[in-house]
Amino acid sequence: MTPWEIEGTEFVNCNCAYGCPCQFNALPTFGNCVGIGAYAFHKGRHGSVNLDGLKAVTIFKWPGAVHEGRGEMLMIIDERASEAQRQSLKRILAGEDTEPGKTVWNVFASTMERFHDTLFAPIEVEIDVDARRSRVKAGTLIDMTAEPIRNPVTGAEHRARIDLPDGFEYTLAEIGSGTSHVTGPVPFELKDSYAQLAHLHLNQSGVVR
Amino acid sequence: MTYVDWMIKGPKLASCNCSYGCPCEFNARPTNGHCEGADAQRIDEGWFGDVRLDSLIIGSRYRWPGPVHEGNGVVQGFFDVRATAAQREALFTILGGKEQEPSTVFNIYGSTIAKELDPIFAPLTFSCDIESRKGHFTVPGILELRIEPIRNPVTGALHRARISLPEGFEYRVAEAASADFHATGEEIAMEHKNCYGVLFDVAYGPYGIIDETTKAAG
Repeated sequence: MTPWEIEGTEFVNCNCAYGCPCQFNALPTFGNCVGIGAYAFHKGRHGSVNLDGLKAVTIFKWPGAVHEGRGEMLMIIDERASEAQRQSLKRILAGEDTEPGKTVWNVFASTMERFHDTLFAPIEVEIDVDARRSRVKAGTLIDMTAEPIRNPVTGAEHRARIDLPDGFEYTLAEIGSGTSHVTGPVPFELKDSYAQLAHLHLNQSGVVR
Repeated sequence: MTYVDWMIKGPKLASCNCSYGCPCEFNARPTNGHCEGADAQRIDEGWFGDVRLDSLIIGSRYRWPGPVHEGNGVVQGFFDVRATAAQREALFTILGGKEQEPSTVFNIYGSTIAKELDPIFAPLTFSCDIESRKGHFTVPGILELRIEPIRNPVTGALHRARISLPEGFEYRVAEAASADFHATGEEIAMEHKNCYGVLFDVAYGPYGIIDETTKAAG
Protein backbone atom coordinates (compact mmCIF):
# COMPACT_ATOMS: atom_id res chain seq x y z
CA MET A 1 0.00 0.00 0.00
CA THR A 2 1.52 3.31 -1.08
CA PRO A 3 1.27 5.82 1.78
CA TRP A 4 -0.30 9.18 1.01
CA GLU A 5 -1.51 12.33 2.74
CA ILE A 6 -3.53 15.29 1.54
CA GLU A 7 -4.63 18.60 3.05
CA GLY A 8 -7.13 20.88 1.43
CA THR A 9 -10.70 22.04 1.28
CA GLU A 10 -13.87 20.51 -0.12
CA PHE A 11 -17.30 21.62 -1.26
CA VAL A 12 -19.76 18.75 -1.54
CA ASN A 13 -23.30 19.22 -2.84
CA CYS A 14 -25.95 16.47 -2.82
CA ASN A 15 -29.68 16.31 -3.44
CA CYS A 16 -30.61 16.01 0.25
CA ALA A 17 -32.09 18.78 2.33
CA TYR A 18 -29.75 21.04 4.33
CA GLY A 19 -28.26 18.91 7.06
CA CYS A 20 -28.12 15.73 4.89
CA PRO A 21 -29.62 12.94 7.02
CA CYS A 22 -26.92 10.53 5.80
CA GLN A 23 -24.40 12.41 7.95
CA PHE A 24 -26.43 11.14 10.91
CA ASN A 25 -27.01 7.64 9.51
CA ALA A 26 -30.60 8.34 8.49
CA LEU A 27 -31.98 7.73 4.99
CA PRO A 28 -31.54 10.38 2.27
CA THR A 29 -34.25 13.05 2.06
CA PHE A 30 -35.68 11.92 -1.29
CA GLY A 31 -34.71 8.25 -1.04
CA ASN A 32 -31.84 8.43 -3.52
CA CYS A 33 -28.49 10.17 -3.58
CA VAL A 34 -26.79 12.18 -6.29
CA GLY A 35 -23.83 14.25 -5.27
CA ILE A 36 -20.74 16.04 -6.42
CA GLY A 37 -17.58 16.88 -4.51
CA ALA A 38 -14.96 19.44 -5.48
CA TYR A 39 -11.56 19.32 -3.84
CA ALA A 40 -8.65 21.72 -3.72
CA PHE A 41 -5.60 19.91 -2.39
CA HIS A 42 -3.27 22.58 -1.08
CA LYS A 43 -0.71 20.00 0.01
CA GLY A 44 -0.45 16.38 -0.90
CA ARG A 45 1.71 13.45 -1.73
CA HIS A 46 1.19 9.87 -2.81
CA GLY A 47 4.36 7.88 -2.28
CA SER A 48 6.98 10.07 -3.95
CA VAL A 49 4.46 11.93 -6.14
CA ASN A 50 3.78 15.53 -5.09
CA LEU A 51 0.12 16.57 -5.33
CA ASP A 52 0.40 20.18 -4.09
CA GLY A 53 -2.10 22.57 -5.63
CA LEU A 54 -4.07 20.00 -7.61
CA LYS A 55 -7.85 19.93 -7.90
CA ALA A 56 -10.40 17.24 -8.59
CA VAL A 57 -14.14 16.66 -8.82
CA THR A 58 -15.99 13.44 -8.04
CA ILE A 59 -19.55 12.73 -9.12
CA PHE A 60 -21.61 10.07 -7.36
CA LYS A 61 -25.02 8.60 -7.95
CA TRP A 62 -26.89 5.87 -6.08
CA PRO A 63 -30.48 4.65 -6.62
CA GLY A 64 -31.08 4.53 -2.85
CA ALA A 65 -29.04 5.24 0.25
CA VAL A 66 -25.27 5.13 -0.19
CA HIS A 67 -24.83 2.07 2.00
CA GLU A 68 -27.31 0.10 -0.13
CA GLY A 69 -24.83 0.22 -3.02
CA ARG A 70 -25.33 -0.03 -6.80
CA GLY A 71 -23.62 3.34 -7.26
CA GLU A 72 -21.80 4.89 -10.16
CA MET A 73 -18.89 7.27 -9.99
CA LEU A 74 -17.07 9.65 -12.29
CA MET A 75 -13.84 11.50 -11.55
CA ILE A 76 -12.69 14.69 -13.22
CA ILE A 77 -9.04 15.46 -12.63
CA ASP A 78 -7.09 18.65 -13.11
CA GLU A 79 -5.70 18.64 -16.65
CA ARG A 80 -2.52 20.26 -15.30
CA ALA A 81 -1.72 17.03 -13.44
CA SER A 82 1.14 14.96 -14.86
CA GLU A 83 0.57 11.33 -15.76
CA ALA A 84 2.00 10.21 -12.38
CA GLN A 85 -0.17 12.75 -10.52
CA ARG A 86 -3.27 11.60 -12.41
CA GLN A 87 -2.63 8.00 -11.40
CA SER A 88 -2.08 9.00 -7.78
CA LEU A 89 -5.27 11.06 -7.53
CA LYS A 90 -7.27 8.31 -9.21
CA ARG A 91 -6.04 5.78 -6.69
CA ILE A 92 -6.82 7.98 -3.67
CA LEU A 93 -10.27 9.01 -4.95
CA ALA A 94 -11.14 5.43 -5.87
CA GLY A 95 -10.36 4.41 -2.29
CA GLU A 96 -7.24 2.44 -3.15
CA ASP A 97 -4.09 2.47 -1.00
CA THR A 98 -6.44 3.00 1.93
CA GLU A 99 -7.28 0.96 5.01
CA PRO A 100 -10.81 -0.45 4.58
CA GLY A 101 -13.52 1.99 5.65
CA LYS A 102 -11.10 4.72 6.65
CA THR A 103 -11.81 7.39 4.04
CA VAL A 104 -15.03 8.57 2.45
CA TRP A 105 -13.63 7.55 -0.93
CA ASN A 106 -12.86 4.03 0.24
CA VAL A 107 -16.35 3.69 1.72
CA PHE A 108 -17.99 5.08 -1.40
CA ALA A 109 -15.90 2.83 -3.66
CA SER A 110 -17.21 -0.22 -1.80
CA THR A 111 -20.75 0.81 -2.85
CA MET A 112 -19.97 1.26 -6.57
CA GLU A 113 -20.93 -1.06 -9.38
CA ARG A 114 -19.72 1.24 -12.14
CA PHE A 115 -16.71 3.53 -12.53
CA HIS A 116 -16.96 5.82 -15.55
CA ASP A 117 -13.79 6.65 -17.49
CA THR A 118 -11.98 9.52 -15.78
CA LEU A 119 -12.19 12.90 -17.51
CA PHE A 120 -9.54 15.64 -17.48
CA ALA A 121 -10.44 19.32 -17.52
CA PRO A 122 -9.28 22.73 -16.36
CA ILE A 123 -10.69 22.91 -12.81
CA GLU A 124 -11.18 26.10 -10.83
CA VAL A 125 -12.08 25.68 -7.15
CA GLU A 126 -12.58 28.59 -4.75
CA ILE A 127 -13.75 27.59 -1.27
CA ASP A 128 -14.19 29.84 1.76
CA VAL A 129 -15.20 27.35 4.44
CA ASP A 130 -16.00 29.85 7.20
CA ALA A 131 -18.06 32.07 4.90
CA ARG A 132 -19.88 29.05 3.42
CA ARG A 133 -19.12 30.29 -0.09
CA SER A 134 -17.65 28.44 -3.02
CA ARG A 135 -17.41 28.57 -6.77
CA VAL A 136 -16.30 25.60 -8.86
CA LYS A 137 -15.92 25.15 -12.59
CA ALA A 138 -14.59 22.19 -14.50
CA GLY A 139 -14.35 23.32 -18.10
CA THR A 140 -17.86 23.40 -19.52
CA LEU A 141 -18.80 20.20 -17.68
CA ILE A 142 -19.43 21.48 -14.15
CA ASP A 143 -20.59 24.70 -12.52
CA MET A 144 -21.12 24.73 -8.74
CA THR A 145 -21.95 27.47 -6.26
CA ALA A 146 -22.29 27.44 -2.47
CA GLU A 147 -23.84 30.21 -0.41
CA PRO A 148 -24.93 30.51 3.20
CA ILE A 149 -28.30 29.04 4.16
CA ARG A 150 -30.82 31.76 4.94
CA ASN A 151 -33.44 31.88 7.66
CA PRO A 152 -36.82 31.35 5.95
CA VAL A 153 -38.47 34.04 8.10
CA THR A 154 -35.84 36.75 8.51
CA GLY A 155 -33.56 36.08 5.53
CA ALA A 156 -30.55 36.24 7.87
CA GLU A 157 -27.61 33.94 7.18
CA HIS A 158 -27.91 30.73 9.20
CA ARG A 159 -24.74 29.16 10.51
CA ALA A 160 -24.89 25.46 11.32
CA ARG A 161 -22.13 22.91 11.51
CA ILE A 162 -21.95 19.14 11.64
CA ASP A 163 -19.30 17.79 13.91
CA LEU A 164 -18.30 14.14 13.40
CA PRO A 165 -15.58 13.42 15.97
CA ASP A 166 -14.97 9.98 14.45
CA GLY A 167 -15.90 10.85 10.85
CA PHE A 168 -14.10 9.35 7.84
CA GLU A 169 -14.21 12.54 5.74
CA TYR A 170 -14.12 15.60 8.02
CA THR A 171 -14.32 16.46 11.69
CA LEU A 172 -16.23 19.72 11.33
CA ALA A 173 -18.18 20.88 8.29
CA GLU A 174 -19.91 24.18 7.70
CA ILE A 175 -23.30 23.63 6.11
CA GLY A 176 -24.40 25.81 3.21
CA SER A 177 -26.78 25.93 0.29
CA GLY A 178 -25.49 24.41 -2.95
CA THR A 179 -26.43 24.68 -6.59
CA SER A 180 -24.75 22.50 -9.22
CA HIS A 181 -25.05 22.15 -12.97
CA VAL A 182 -23.51 18.82 -13.95
CA THR A 183 -23.15 17.65 -17.57
CA GLY A 184 -21.25 14.72 -19.06
CA PRO A 185 -21.90 11.01 -18.57
CA VAL A 186 -23.68 11.45 -15.19
CA PRO A 187 -25.72 14.64 -15.66
CA PHE A 188 -27.94 16.24 -13.01
CA GLU A 189 -29.03 19.58 -11.62
CA LEU A 190 -29.07 20.52 -7.93
CA LYS A 191 -30.60 23.72 -6.66
CA ASP A 192 -30.43 25.10 -3.11
CA SER A 193 -29.74 21.72 -1.54
CA TYR A 194 -27.24 20.32 0.98
CA ALA A 195 -23.79 21.83 0.73
CA GLN A 196 -20.91 20.80 2.96
CA LEU A 197 -17.74 22.87 3.17
CA ALA A 198 -14.83 21.56 5.16
CA HIS A 199 -11.11 21.45 5.64
CA LEU A 200 -9.70 18.04 4.75
CA HIS A 201 -6.70 16.29 6.17
CA LEU A 202 -6.62 12.62 5.25
CA ASN A 203 -4.16 9.83 4.71
CA GLN A 204 -4.26 6.07 4.08
CA SER A 205 -5.48 5.54 7.66
CA GLY A 206 -8.31 8.10 7.57
CA VAL A 207 -8.77 11.59 8.99
CA VAL A 208 -5.57 12.91 10.56
CA ARG A 209 -6.61 14.24 14.00
CA MET B 1 -35.07 46.81 28.80
CA THR B 2 -34.41 45.42 32.24
CA TYR B 3 -35.74 42.12 33.43
CA VAL B 4 -36.05 40.18 36.63
CA ASP B 5 -32.82 38.22 36.94
CA TRP B 6 -33.30 34.54 36.23
CA MET B 7 -31.51 31.47 34.92
CA ILE B 8 -32.34 27.85 34.26
CA LYS B 9 -29.38 25.59 33.65
CA GLY B 10 -29.03 21.88 33.19
CA PRO B 11 -29.14 18.94 30.79
CA LYS B 12 -31.89 18.90 28.20
CA LEU B 13 -33.38 16.25 25.91
CA ALA B 14 -35.31 17.15 22.77
CA SER B 15 -36.93 15.08 20.06
CA CYS B 16 -39.21 15.30 17.07
CA ASN B 17 -40.56 13.08 14.31
CA CYS B 18 -37.88 14.13 11.80
CA SER B 19 -34.97 11.95 10.68
CA TYR B 20 -31.77 11.95 12.68
CA GLY B 21 -30.18 15.38 12.42
CA CYS B 22 -33.56 17.16 11.91
CA PRO B 23 -33.46 19.33 8.77
CA CYS B 24 -35.12 22.19 10.68
CA GLU B 25 -31.87 22.71 12.60
CA PHE B 26 -30.42 23.69 9.22
CA ASN B 27 -33.45 25.73 8.10
CA ALA B 28 -34.73 23.03 5.75
CA ARG B 29 -38.26 21.63 5.91
CA PRO B 30 -39.21 18.83 8.33
CA THR B 31 -38.68 15.29 7.03
CA ASN B 32 -42.34 14.31 7.13
CA GLY B 33 -43.81 17.73 6.44
CA HIS B 34 -44.94 18.41 9.98
CA CYS B 35 -43.33 18.52 13.41
CA GLU B 36 -44.29 16.81 16.64
CA GLY B 37 -42.26 15.73 19.63
CA ALA B 38 -41.32 16.27 23.23
CA ASP B 39 -38.54 17.82 25.27
CA ALA B 40 -37.47 17.99 28.91
CA GLN B 41 -34.86 19.69 31.05
CA ARG B 42 -33.62 19.12 34.56
CA ILE B 43 -32.81 22.42 36.20
CA ASP B 44 -29.62 21.62 38.08
CA GLU B 45 -29.22 25.27 38.93
CA GLY B 46 -31.91 27.90 38.57
CA TRP B 47 -33.58 30.94 40.03
CA PHE B 48 -36.14 33.61 39.23
CA GLY B 49 -35.50 36.68 41.37
CA ASP B 50 -35.27 35.24 44.87
CA VAL B 51 -37.13 32.00 44.05
CA ARG B 52 -34.78 29.02 43.70
CA LEU B 53 -35.61 26.49 40.97
CA ASP B 54 -32.84 23.92 41.56
CA SER B 55 -33.58 20.25 40.83
CA LEU B 56 -36.98 20.86 39.25
CA ILE B 57 -37.87 19.04 36.02
CA ILE B 58 -39.81 20.68 33.20
CA GLY B 59 -40.94 19.36 29.84
CA SER B 60 -43.37 19.79 27.00
CA ARG B 61 -44.97 18.12 24.03
CA TYR B 62 -45.69 19.96 20.83
CA ARG B 63 -47.14 19.68 17.35
CA TRP B 64 -47.15 21.96 14.33
CA PRO B 65 -49.09 21.07 11.15
CA GLY B 66 -46.13 22.14 8.95
CA PRO B 67 -42.67 23.54 9.62
CA VAL B 68 -42.39 25.29 12.98
CA HIS B 69 -41.94 28.74 11.43
CA GLU B 70 -45.30 28.51 9.65
CA GLY B 71 -47.01 28.51 13.06
CA ASN B 72 -50.35 27.06 14.24
CA GLY B 73 -48.58 24.99 16.87
CA VAL B 74 -50.14 23.28 19.87
CA VAL B 75 -48.12 22.84 23.03
CA GLN B 76 -48.56 21.40 26.50
CA GLY B 77 -46.20 21.97 29.40
CA PHE B 78 -45.24 19.38 32.02
CA PHE B 79 -44.25 20.60 35.46
CA ASP B 80 -42.66 18.91 38.40
CA VAL B 81 -45.38 18.21 40.96
CA ARG B 82 -42.85 19.09 43.67
CA ALA B 83 -42.79 22.75 42.56
CA THR B 84 -44.27 25.19 45.09
CA ALA B 85 -46.77 27.85 44.06
CA ALA B 86 -43.99 30.43 43.80
CA GLN B 87 -41.83 28.10 41.71
CA ARG B 88 -44.75 27.33 39.40
CA GLU B 89 -45.38 31.03 38.89
CA ALA B 90 -41.68 31.58 38.13
CA LEU B 91 -41.58 28.72 35.61
CA PHE B 92 -44.79 29.93 33.90
CA THR B 93 -43.21 33.35 33.53
CA ILE B 94 -39.97 32.00 32.05
CA LEU B 95 -41.50 29.38 29.76
CA GLY B 96 -44.22 31.85 28.75
CA GLY B 97 -41.54 34.15 27.35
CA LYS B 98 -41.99 36.97 29.86
CA GLU B 99 -39.08 38.80 31.53
CA GLN B 100 -36.83 38.13 28.52
CA GLU B 101 -35.90 39.32 25.04
CA PRO B 102 -38.06 38.47 22.01
CA SER B 103 -35.12 36.46 20.63
CA THR B 104 -35.03 33.75 23.33
CA VAL B 105 -35.94 30.12 22.62
CA PHE B 106 -39.19 30.48 24.57
CA ASN B 107 -40.30 33.53 22.58
CA ILE B 108 -39.23 32.22 19.19
CA TYR B 109 -41.13 28.95 19.68
CA GLY B 110 -43.88 30.81 21.56
CA SER B 111 -44.51 33.05 18.56
CA THR B 112 -45.47 29.95 16.52
CA ILE B 113 -48.00 28.58 19.03
CA ALA B 114 -51.73 29.00 18.37
CA LYS B 115 -53.04 26.89 21.23
CA GLU B 116 -51.68 26.03 24.64
CA LEU B 117 -53.22 23.11 26.48
CA ASP B 118 -53.62 23.16 30.26
CA PRO B 119 -50.32 22.27 31.92
CA ILE B 120 -49.89 18.93 33.65
CA PHE B 121 -48.34 18.64 37.11
CA ALA B 122 -46.91 15.19 37.66
CA PRO B 123 -44.07 13.27 39.31
CA LEU B 124 -41.79 13.67 36.29
CA THR B 125 -38.71 11.46 35.96
CA PHE B 126 -35.59 12.49 34.05
CA SER B 127 -32.17 11.03 33.35
CA CYS B 128 -29.53 12.16 30.89
CA ASP B 129 -25.97 11.09 30.07
CA ILE B 130 -24.80 13.38 27.30
CA GLU B 131 -21.46 11.68 26.72
CA SER B 132 -23.07 8.28 26.11
CA ARG B 133 -26.11 9.81 24.36
CA LYS B 134 -28.66 8.22 26.66
CA GLY B 135 -31.68 9.90 28.15
CA HIS B 136 -35.10 9.09 29.56
CA PHE B 137 -38.06 11.31 30.47
CA THR B 138 -41.46 10.26 31.69
CA VAL B 139 -44.75 11.87 32.55
CA PRO B 140 -46.20 8.77 34.19
CA GLY B 141 -49.15 7.38 32.25
CA ILE B 142 -48.99 10.16 29.65
CA LEU B 143 -45.63 10.36 27.91
CA GLU B 144 -42.33 8.54 27.65
CA LEU B 145 -39.26 9.73 25.76
CA ARG B 146 -36.25 7.46 25.42
CA ILE B 147 -33.00 8.54 23.75
CA GLU B 148 -30.19 6.22 22.69
CA PRO B 149 -27.13 6.45 20.44
CA ILE B 150 -27.56 6.27 16.67
CA ARG B 151 -26.12 3.12 15.14
CA ASN B 152 -24.39 2.62 11.81
CA PRO B 153 -26.90 0.79 9.55
CA VAL B 154 -24.21 -1.52 8.14
CA THR B 155 -21.89 -2.29 11.05
CA GLY B 156 -24.17 -1.55 14.02
CA ALA B 157 -21.38 0.55 15.55
CA LEU B 158 -22.37 3.59 17.57
CA HIS B 159 -22.40 6.73 15.41
CA ARG B 160 -21.37 9.97 17.01
CA ALA B 161 -22.51 13.20 15.34
CA ARG B 162 -22.97 16.63 16.81
CA ILE B 163 -24.85 19.66 15.57
CA SER B 164 -23.02 22.91 16.18
CA LEU B 165 -25.02 26.13 15.96
CA PRO B 166 -22.61 28.92 16.92
CA GLU B 167 -25.45 31.45 17.05
CA GLY B 168 -28.15 28.99 18.11
CA PHE B 169 -30.98 30.08 20.39
CA GLU B 170 -31.79 26.63 21.81
CA TYR B 171 -28.30 25.11 22.02
CA ARG B 172 -24.82 25.74 20.74
CA VAL B 173 -23.62 22.12 20.55
CA ALA B 174 -25.83 19.05 20.81
CA GLU B 175 -25.13 15.35 20.58
CA ALA B 176 -27.42 13.85 17.95
CA ALA B 177 -29.15 10.64 18.98
CA SER B 178 -32.08 8.34 18.25
CA ALA B 179 -35.39 9.05 19.98
CA ASP B 180 -38.39 6.82 20.66
CA PHE B 181 -41.43 8.49 22.20
CA HIS B 182 -45.10 7.92 22.73
CA ALA B 183 -47.77 10.04 24.33
CA THR B 184 -51.45 9.53 25.08
CA GLY B 185 -54.25 12.06 25.34
CA GLU B 186 -56.96 13.73 23.30
CA GLU B 187 -54.45 16.11 21.74
CA ILE B 188 -50.83 15.53 20.77
CA ALA B 189 -51.07 11.77 21.12
CA MET B 190 -48.13 10.36 19.18
CA GLU B 191 -45.87 7.39 18.71
CA HIS B 192 -42.52 7.48 16.94
CA LYS B 193 -39.42 5.33 16.87
CA ASN B 194 -35.87 5.90 15.66
CA CYS B 195 -36.25 9.58 14.96
CA TYR B 196 -34.45 12.81 15.82
CA GLY B 197 -33.17 13.19 19.34
CA VAL B 198 -30.58 15.48 20.87
CA LEU B 199 -28.92 15.90 24.25
CA PHE B 200 -27.18 19.02 25.45
CA ASP B 201 -26.29 21.13 28.44
CA VAL B 202 -27.63 24.64 28.33
CA ALA B 203 -28.27 27.68 30.50
CA TYR B 204 -31.00 30.14 29.53
CA GLY B 205 -31.48 33.68 30.89
CA PRO B 206 -33.33 36.87 29.96
CA TYR B 207 -30.97 37.52 27.03
CA GLY B 208 -30.91 33.97 25.68
CA ILE B 209 -28.26 31.29 26.02
CA ILE B 210 -25.70 32.10 28.71
CA ASP B 211 -22.43 31.19 27.01
CA GLU B 212 -20.05 31.09 29.94
CA THR B 213 -22.04 28.40 31.67
CA THR B 214 -22.89 26.46 28.54
CA LYS B 215 -20.63 23.50 28.47
CA ALA B 216 -19.97 22.20 24.96
CA ALA B 217 -21.02 18.57 24.78
CA GLY B 218 -18.02 16.30 25.09
